[in-house]
Amino acid sequence: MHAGRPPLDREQLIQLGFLEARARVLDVAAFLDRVQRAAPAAGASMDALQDDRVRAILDAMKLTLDGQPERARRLLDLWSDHSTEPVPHADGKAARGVPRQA
Amino acid sequence: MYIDPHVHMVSRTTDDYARMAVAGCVAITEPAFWAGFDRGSAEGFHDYFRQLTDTEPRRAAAYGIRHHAWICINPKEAEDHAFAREVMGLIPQFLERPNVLGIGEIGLNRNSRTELAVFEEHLELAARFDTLVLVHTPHLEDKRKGTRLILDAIRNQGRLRPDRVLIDHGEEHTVRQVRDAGFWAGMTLYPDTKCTAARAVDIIEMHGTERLWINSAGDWGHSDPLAVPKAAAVMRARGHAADAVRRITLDNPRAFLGQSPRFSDAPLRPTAPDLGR
Repeated sequence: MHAGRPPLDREQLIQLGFLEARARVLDVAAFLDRVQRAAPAAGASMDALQDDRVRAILDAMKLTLDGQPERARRLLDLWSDHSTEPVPHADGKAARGVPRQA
Repeated sequence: MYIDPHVHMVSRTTDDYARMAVAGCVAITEPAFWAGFDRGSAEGFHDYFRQLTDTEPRRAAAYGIRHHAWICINPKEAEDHAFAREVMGLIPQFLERPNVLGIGEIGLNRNSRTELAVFEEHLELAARFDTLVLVHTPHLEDKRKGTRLILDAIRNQGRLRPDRVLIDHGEEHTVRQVRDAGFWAGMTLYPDTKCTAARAVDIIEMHGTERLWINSAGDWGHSDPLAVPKAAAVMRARGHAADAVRRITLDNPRAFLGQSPRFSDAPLRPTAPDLGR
């Protein structure tokens, strides 16, 4: 068996995961529609797609289309803080999902 | 039979213990963590450590589950260095408790200088008392950087054997580097912010089962204390043999945790009156 090759064949994996993946892609599309329909918050851009979190999702979707392997790892790298030094102080307790400058 | 090596039962109901027992859980380990609010005093931590080392083992035993604990001040409450040191002063007395396996879950949350300093002081404690170490890695965009800082800090300290340290909450972009450096890696099956069962099985397929475990990290947030047996079901559905499922859910946690003489997953007779309901 090739390293990294699943025990099931391609057709079996598609049978097993297609409907769930289809539903999740549809959820992303509906999320983008919902955000675009909403009124902007005070002081925010009129263009919903300018929000850095929304742009991070669109950038990730572009990444999945490049035909290259390890999409999940590369997507997580794309959404990661690439700085290397500790920050002076914790900026709250919770991470937000993508770096602010993304 | 399975082990959930990272679950926060202080936040779970007794019904969860019953469900885990029915699903085949024989042992758990519970790291000290953030309770969703900042404790106001070191005494608050003292009481929490008593809960981890006295109350929870008794709750678990009623359902035939062996309970073990890890002690520390978690990184989310480590930004006040003086306070963190006060809490760390409590740790040695609790390391003597019979169900305590070591220091954990220490690590980083937002990758701050103080978090890193407190992490390094915990590593010193672990080296001084020769304990196992369970490490929390940050969430979301902070995980990649935080995992690198953590690996560097442990290497720089130089007194802890990598095979006695497990670095948890791994995902596709961190598991490889953790294992390549000789450490154990954990994957937390947690909706939204960590790893789904399907992705955990992908990682197992890509990287193999060596020095790897899965856990639920069930806690007070959106989480599932049955995540480990559910992931085992996903592994079976994906065509993995029974011995591979057993390795991930039982043999591997047993191998890492068994480095502490205090760990046991030997059969324990349940005494809870409600198990047969």
